[in-house]
Amino acid sequence: MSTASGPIYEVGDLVIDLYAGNVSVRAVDGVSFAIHPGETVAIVGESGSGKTVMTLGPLGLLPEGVTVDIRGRAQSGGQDLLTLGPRRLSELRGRSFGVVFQDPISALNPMKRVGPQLAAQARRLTGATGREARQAALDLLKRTGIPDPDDRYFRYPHEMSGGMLQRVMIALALAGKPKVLIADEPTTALDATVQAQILELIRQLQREDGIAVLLITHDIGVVSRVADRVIVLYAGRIAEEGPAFEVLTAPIHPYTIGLLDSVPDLRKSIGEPRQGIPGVPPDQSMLVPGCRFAERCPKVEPRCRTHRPPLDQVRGRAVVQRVACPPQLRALREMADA
Amino acid sequence: MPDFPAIQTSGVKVHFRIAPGRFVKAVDGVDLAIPAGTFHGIVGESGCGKTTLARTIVGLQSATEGEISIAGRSLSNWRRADRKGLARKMQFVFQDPLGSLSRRQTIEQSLEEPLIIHGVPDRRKRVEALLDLVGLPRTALGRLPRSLSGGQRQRVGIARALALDPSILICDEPLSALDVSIRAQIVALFADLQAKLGLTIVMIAHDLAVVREICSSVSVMYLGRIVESGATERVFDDAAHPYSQALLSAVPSPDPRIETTRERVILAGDPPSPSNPPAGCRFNTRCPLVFERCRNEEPVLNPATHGGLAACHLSQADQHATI
Repeated sequence: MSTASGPIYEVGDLVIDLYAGNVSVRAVDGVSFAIHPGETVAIVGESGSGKTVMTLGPLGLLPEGVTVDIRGRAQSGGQDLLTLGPRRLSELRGRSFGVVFQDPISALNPMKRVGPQLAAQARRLTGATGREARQAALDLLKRTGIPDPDDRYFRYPHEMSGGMLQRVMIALALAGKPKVLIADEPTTALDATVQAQILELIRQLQREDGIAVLLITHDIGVVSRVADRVIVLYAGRIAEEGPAFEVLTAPIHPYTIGLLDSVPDLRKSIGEPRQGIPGVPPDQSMLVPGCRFAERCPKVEPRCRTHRPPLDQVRGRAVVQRVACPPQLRALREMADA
Repeated sequence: MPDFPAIQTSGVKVHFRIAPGRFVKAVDGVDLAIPAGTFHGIVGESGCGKTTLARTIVGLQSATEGEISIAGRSLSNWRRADRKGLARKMQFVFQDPLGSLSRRQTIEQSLEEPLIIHGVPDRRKRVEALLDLVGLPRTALGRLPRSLSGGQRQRVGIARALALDPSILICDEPLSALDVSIRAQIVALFADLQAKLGLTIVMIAHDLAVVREICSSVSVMYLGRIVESGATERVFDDAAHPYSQALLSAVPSPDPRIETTRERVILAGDPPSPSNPPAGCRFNTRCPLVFERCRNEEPVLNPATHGGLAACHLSQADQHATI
C-alpha cells in the first residue's frame, strides 16, 4: 500500500441530511476519511448507520424520491464532487469511480444482452469505437472470470446465475477504467461458496490494476478477509478507524467491541451465549448533543451525553488508529502510564 | 416420553411444475428424524430446498411424494382430523415478521388472536406472560408492527408462535433480516427458550457460525437432498462430505489472525439448477474429488466418521476424503 501519491478520494466534514415529507434525518454527521491507490477500505456499520448514504451520496447515486442536502467536501482528481453539476458529476463518476451494487439484476437492463450493455458502457466512458468497445467488453468478461465469454456475451441477465451476474456487474463497473471501485454489499445476496469466489476476484483485480476499493459491508468476516483499513460507523458518525488487523483484534470503541463480540466465529470454541448490544440505535431525526452510542454504552459517563466525542488518534500504537471515545482513550493512557 | 421422533420425514419430495414436463425439484427425497427436545439446524445455499422443506413439514406446502409424521402421527392425519391440535403442537416462525404479522393489528391483538381461536382462558395474563418470555416491555402491546425495530418484531413473531404453548417450532431464517448486534440478542433468546421450555426447534439458516452456537444437530442440504447430518460440533469439526467441507471453508473468520493464515478451498462454478440436477451425485459438477462412479451412481446416506450420516462414495464409517 503506497500513500506517497496522496489520496485518490478524500471526504471532509461530510454532513448529509435526508428529507422525506416533513421528516428529516441526519444520515451522515460530520465524517472525514481518505482512500489511497491500491488500498481496500471497508466501511462497516449496521442498517441505518449511514454507510451507503455516506459513500453513494457525494456521487449523486442515492435513490430517487429522497431529497438530499449534502455539505462538506468530497475531492477526487483535484475536483470537489459536491460543487459539480449533474452532467460533470456523471462524467467524473464514470471515469474515476466504478460502482458495484448489492443486487446486480436491478442494475442491468433485463431487455438487453449483457455483452452489448457492457460494450455500450465502454463506449460511453472511454470513447472507444464500436469494434474496440466490443473487444473491451469481451476482455472484461474474461477478466472477471466468466467462463465461455463469447457465448455469455449474447446472454440476457435472466439467463445467468447470481454469481455470474455479480461478475458482469463488476465488469460493468470496470468498463470506464476507474481509479476507485465502490462495492456496496457486493456479496450479501450471494451464497457462501459464491461469495468466496467474488471476494477473490475483487482482490485479484485490485492486485492487477492497483485500484482503490471502497467496500461497504456489515459482514466482519468479509472485512477480515479483504480489508486493509476499516471505518466503523455508528448512527452517521465514525466510531473507530484504523488498520483492519488492529481494529478487529484490539478494538477500542465500546461499539466496536460490542459489535465484534456479537459475531460468532466458526473456528473458535463456543463460550456463553452472546448477548449482543442491548438496546437499539438512536432515532436520527432527533439531533442530540453528545455521543450517539451513549444510551447503549457500558462505559458511559455524564460528559458523554453532553459533548460530542472527537475522533482522536490512539497514542502509543505504531499505526494510525482513531477512536471517538474519550473515556476509553483515557483508560488506555492510564494503563500505559501505570 | 414417547420414543418416536418429534419430526420424521421419509422420501419427501416437493416438485413444482414450471412448464409442461419440466419440474423444479426443490426437495427431492429427504429422510429426516428429529428427536424430541433437539435444536436442529438445516443449512445450505439458496435453491437447496431448505425453506421448501420447512414449509412442507408444517403443511404450508404439500409434498409431491413421501410421508411426514409429527409426534408419531402422520401430518395428513393431523390435518384431516385435528387441525387445531396440530396448531397447538407445532408452530412456524417466519423470516420477516413484518410480512407475517398483520400491519393493522396491534401487538396485543396479534398475540391474542390464536388464544381467542383456541378458546384459551385468562388471555390478558397469557399475553403478558408471552411478553416476559421473549423480553418485550408491556408498552409494546398497543403498538403496530411497523413502529417496532426489527429485533422487537422478531420477538413478537416468536411470542405469537409460542402463544399456544407448542412443543415444536419450525423457524425459517429467523435471524437473517437482523443486524448482527440484534441477531446475537435473538440467538440468546432462542437458546434460552429451548432450555426453559424443552422445545424441539428446527432452524433453517445460512449462518454456519450461529448454527454451531445453538444447534445440537445439523443437516446440510444440496440441490434438494440432505448430503450430511449429525451432531453439529462433530460434523463441523470433521465434515465427511466434500460439499460440507467447501461450505465451511467458504465462511471467513472475523479474526484476521485466523483468516490470513488458514487454508481455504474455493469451489468453482455455481450450484446447478434444481430443475435439471446432474445424474449420479448432485455435487459431481463442482466436486474437486469427482471420479467415474460419482457421475453414474447417486450416493446414499451412510454412517460417517463423525457418528452421523454422509452421502458420498468416498465416505465410510471409518474414513472419508478431504478436499
